Amino acid sequence: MMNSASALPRYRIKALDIILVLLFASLAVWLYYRASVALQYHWQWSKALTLIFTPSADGGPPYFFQGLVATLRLSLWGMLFASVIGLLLALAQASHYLLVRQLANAYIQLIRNIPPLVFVFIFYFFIANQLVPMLGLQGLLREHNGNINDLQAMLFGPAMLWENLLSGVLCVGMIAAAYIAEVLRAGVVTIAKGQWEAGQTLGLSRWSQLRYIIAPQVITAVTPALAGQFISLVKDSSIIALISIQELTFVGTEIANSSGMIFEIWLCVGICYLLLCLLLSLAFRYLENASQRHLQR
Amino acid sequence: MHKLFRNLVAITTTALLMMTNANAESSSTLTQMQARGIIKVGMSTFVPWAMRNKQGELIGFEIDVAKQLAKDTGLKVQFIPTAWDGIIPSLQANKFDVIIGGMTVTPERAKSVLFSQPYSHSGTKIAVNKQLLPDVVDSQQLNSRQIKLAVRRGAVSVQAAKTHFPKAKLLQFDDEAQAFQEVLNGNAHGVIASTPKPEQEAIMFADTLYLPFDYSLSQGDEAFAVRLGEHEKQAFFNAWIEKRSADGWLQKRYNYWFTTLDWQDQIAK
Repeated sequence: MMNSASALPRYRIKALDIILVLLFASLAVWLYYRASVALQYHWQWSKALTLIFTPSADGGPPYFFQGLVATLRLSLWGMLFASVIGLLLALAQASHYLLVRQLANAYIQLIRNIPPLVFVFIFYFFIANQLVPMLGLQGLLREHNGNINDLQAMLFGPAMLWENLLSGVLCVGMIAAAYIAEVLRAGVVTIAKGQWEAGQTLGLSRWSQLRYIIAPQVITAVTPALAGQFISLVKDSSIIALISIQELTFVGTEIANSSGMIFEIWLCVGICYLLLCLLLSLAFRYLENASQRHLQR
Repeated sequence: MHKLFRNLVAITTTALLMMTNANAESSSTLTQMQARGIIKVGMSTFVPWAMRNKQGELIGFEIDVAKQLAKDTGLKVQFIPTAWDGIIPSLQANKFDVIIGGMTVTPERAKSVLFSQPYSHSGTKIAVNKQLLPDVVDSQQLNSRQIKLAVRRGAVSVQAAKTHFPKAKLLQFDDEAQAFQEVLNGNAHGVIASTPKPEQEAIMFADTLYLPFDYSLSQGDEAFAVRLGEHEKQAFFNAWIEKRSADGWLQKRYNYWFTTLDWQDQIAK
């Protein structure tokens, strides 16, 4: 990696760069001017910021940050759930049984070809509602008395929102799983048949072929695409505000409507998503480099 | 006389049958709620019915009503904030026991939920952009194809707009704040919303907004909503509403939230 980076020409500011910077600056100024003329809006940034940082009445974190934490929780569990289901779907697609292959394929095509919002609505009101009693979770989730220990609170949040969280995780997870399955399948397909054959010739067991020859190459191939998928999972989690999952977007709606400072609050919500996704990008950049180590030896 | 008697018998039998049916269906949901000791209330942010104060706690007329209801019936209350678009499906999907959300009784809604007695009465008013329409005196001035009106989607204001200004173009938003912003920006000529929001906004943005008419465009009754067939639960809520209407408590709370601005410093403004 380092070699290829240093092979690039060194930065030198040219006339074209200056012109481009000036053009962008004037565009930004023009946009700002247009917005301030067209928008009859009374900006109250200091008020909005104090509102966001006002701690809750019982001394806990501010309401806005409760929403942020809920989004984090939702995203992490969603990623875990999506990875497991995605992996299972990818394995099912590689199955020797036609029925298993077709079922996995049907699921992936269904999810990939309907808008996430439509899926979320249908899933939440028709399926999740049947699923909770069916799995016997009714007593655990709906009629819970609210006494939980600290570890449970940290991992899953307040007990009264457990059912809410579960529906959210299922929704974002099931959508992302279909895409992850496709990414993983594509990763396996890129591995030339010769790689398996070479492993066989060396007398490796099927597990050893997979573990030492195929998996490292697949991981390298799929990491960038998976990164995109996980980032889009975090952003998609904002859709489920519409089914009242109490996460950042939902909390943002409530605060914006109550206070009337719509643009300030929504900009803050946007910045939070930006920071979350940027952090995730950085983490994946690191993983990507790590997964390419076997190529540098 | 004979016919009248026969009809009476028929009506009584049907009523009795319906009552027993209802009991069979819904006695479980009321007892279930009481056994749990918690009443789950579905609501949506809607100033000043229900909103978040600076600390992120729920305040507002609905919140007072639900808390008092729980106190009087010896239950605990749990609020389930829900997006307005999905509030009726959520009720039907058993996400909560009752909607106490400033929901106006309409025939369409009565097809999918069972309303209690009204506990509050509100009207809708129109606020108009001063620059675009400086002198509105007659409501017919607004009933034109060139007029754009902003409303909250699924609210009674949509109905009011359609009856009073059938020719006007409706811009529907998920939240009232957006509907008002559209008029303040001059992208719509007027906004229709439940009182007292139009009055309050007209005071706050006195140089852009004004109320052309004193009267309400429509008069609405707000009621609790439970699932169809839950007559026992409906009776349970009706008893409470009757009691609290009679002793003037509901009117007192209504006056506090709708005719004063004493609560304004609890939220951000």
